[in-house]
Amino acid sequence: MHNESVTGLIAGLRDKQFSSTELTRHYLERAQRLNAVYNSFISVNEEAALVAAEAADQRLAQGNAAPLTGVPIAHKDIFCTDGLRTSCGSRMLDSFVPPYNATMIQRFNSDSAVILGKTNMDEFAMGSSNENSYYGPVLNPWDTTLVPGGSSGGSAAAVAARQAPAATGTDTGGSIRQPAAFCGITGLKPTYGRVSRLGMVAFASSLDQAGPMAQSAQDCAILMNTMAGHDPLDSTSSRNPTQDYTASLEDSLEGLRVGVPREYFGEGLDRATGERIETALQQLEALGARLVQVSLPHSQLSIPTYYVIAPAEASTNLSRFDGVRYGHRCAEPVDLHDLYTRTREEGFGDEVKRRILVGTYSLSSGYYDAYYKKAQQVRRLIAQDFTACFEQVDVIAGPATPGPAFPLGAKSDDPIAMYLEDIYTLAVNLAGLPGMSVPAGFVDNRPVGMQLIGRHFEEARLLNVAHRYQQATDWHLQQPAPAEGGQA
Amino acid sequence: MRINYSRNCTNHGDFGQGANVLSLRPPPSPERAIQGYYIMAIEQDEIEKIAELARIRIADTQIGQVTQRITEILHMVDQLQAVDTSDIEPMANPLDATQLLRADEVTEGNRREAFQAIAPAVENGLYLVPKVID
Repeated sequence: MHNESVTGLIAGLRDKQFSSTELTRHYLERAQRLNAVYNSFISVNEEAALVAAEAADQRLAQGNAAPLTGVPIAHKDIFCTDGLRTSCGSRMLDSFVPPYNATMIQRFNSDSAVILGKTNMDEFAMGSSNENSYYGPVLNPWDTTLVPGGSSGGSAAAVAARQAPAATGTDTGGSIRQPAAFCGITGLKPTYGRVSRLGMVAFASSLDQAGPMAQSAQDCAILMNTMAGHDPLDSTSSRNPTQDYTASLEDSLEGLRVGVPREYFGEGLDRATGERIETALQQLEALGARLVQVSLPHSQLSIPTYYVIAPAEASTNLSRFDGVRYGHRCAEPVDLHDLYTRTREEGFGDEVKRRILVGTYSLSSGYYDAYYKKAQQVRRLIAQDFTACFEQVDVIAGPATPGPAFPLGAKSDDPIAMYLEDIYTLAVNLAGLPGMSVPAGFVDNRPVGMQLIGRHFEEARLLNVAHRYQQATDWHLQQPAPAEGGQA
Repeated sequence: MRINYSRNCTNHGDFGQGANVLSLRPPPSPERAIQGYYIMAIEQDEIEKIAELARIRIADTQIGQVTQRITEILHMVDQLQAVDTSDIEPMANPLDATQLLRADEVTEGNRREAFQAIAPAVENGLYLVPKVID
């Protein structure tokens, strides 16, 4: 059962090959048992998931099921779930049980999808290796000495290890695409504003975006149909109409213009990874696409730009954690100042503190123009690079990451080396564009991801390109060897 | 905290909150910036001031390492100073969307009990904090 795609599970539920209760029990057992190996879940939603599965079975029997009715889905522990602990990977929210659902969770609930559990992540989504979690690192199912990527590493590992048929993630600078690449799964970061941010713990509000992570582009499209849409409670939510993201999956790629940015194949890209991506590009060509060399001249500046804007917004957003209304509170504060400073010292991990401090600095009087405003100006230059490219091409393709997954501990003491991991993904968030990572081969048995970038609100086209590519290749069907004692 | 140095700070964008007030050394002139030596090493006492503004206690044993890491990050960020951004409008929202306003109507119910149930310390419907006024 756990080798089925979401598409296959939907058919199985409709044809009564199994019930949602059976399916949910199966996945709960796998999620729980394999968690001892991969640490991909922070919470497994045992009792409530079975209650939801029973309700889904009733709906299926009544014949008024939505596409995802009865399908268990794992959610990154950044989405508020009513009555289910939402830690955001932080000690600060270790005991936080939200009194409401994120809009995105509500949308899955309206479909009677089942919440399987909440996945591990870098604290407050700050990290590229999942080593910044208060709950310990997630291990990569392809090789447990490797990181799964981050920050949505738990979601990526859970899908790769078939602990969940699909998962949700968030992507502020690459946090869906990089772990998807490292774990050999398919992940989509939609256009900024396409999926509601309400109830998603805020990191950097002008960059954050939620998206699906699954075995295939087709499965991602099915999830997008549920996730995407305007939310009147999120003032940055787009009013652009959504579409059926599965409708154009089969469209031909004949004549599609694919831009290949030369900056994405330069210094810093692992050679073997680059070769896999070139092979993937040739495959797109064989499917009828035309490759066009393009340039994104400000690419290199996406790292410094991001590391001003994201920390600035984070320092603002994380000022809400004060030990008064919810979350961690230090023991026996002597005065209000002590309450704030000690609560935040104890509640936040090192990387989160660093980013709050950098953000506080760059927003300081006298430094604001030199840092924040400057970064916002360079952000526009980066966005304009893409606008110019998209006059010549329909999509952009290249590597998702500079190389395959790296060993645990390899970069955890060097923030700058860690930041460089996101060199190909950050600019996409700065420009608010949709981006995907699609499995495109292996280097030393480590998955490699091809990144596809589209125009604003052209998620359907990315999914179409990825789907056609996945019909011609089988990289996305490869699975890691089962963990010891992990065979169901 | 008093203002020791300030330049005009008008455009806060949609997301960055108001500028913090901090006694830091003034940044060097833009001429120097364009030559690419913008940032001096940030000193430990400045990190202490920033941490105070951010209301994060940093243990004495940690402050040296925190200072070093932040210096490295600021050095990396320093590349931005070499970019000519004259006449470039700052981009606060990637879709250049403006803030939407809604009608000023009450749409949410009162969920005071649910919200107080998750607070670390409450009494008689009030949030408890250490004594503020003597």
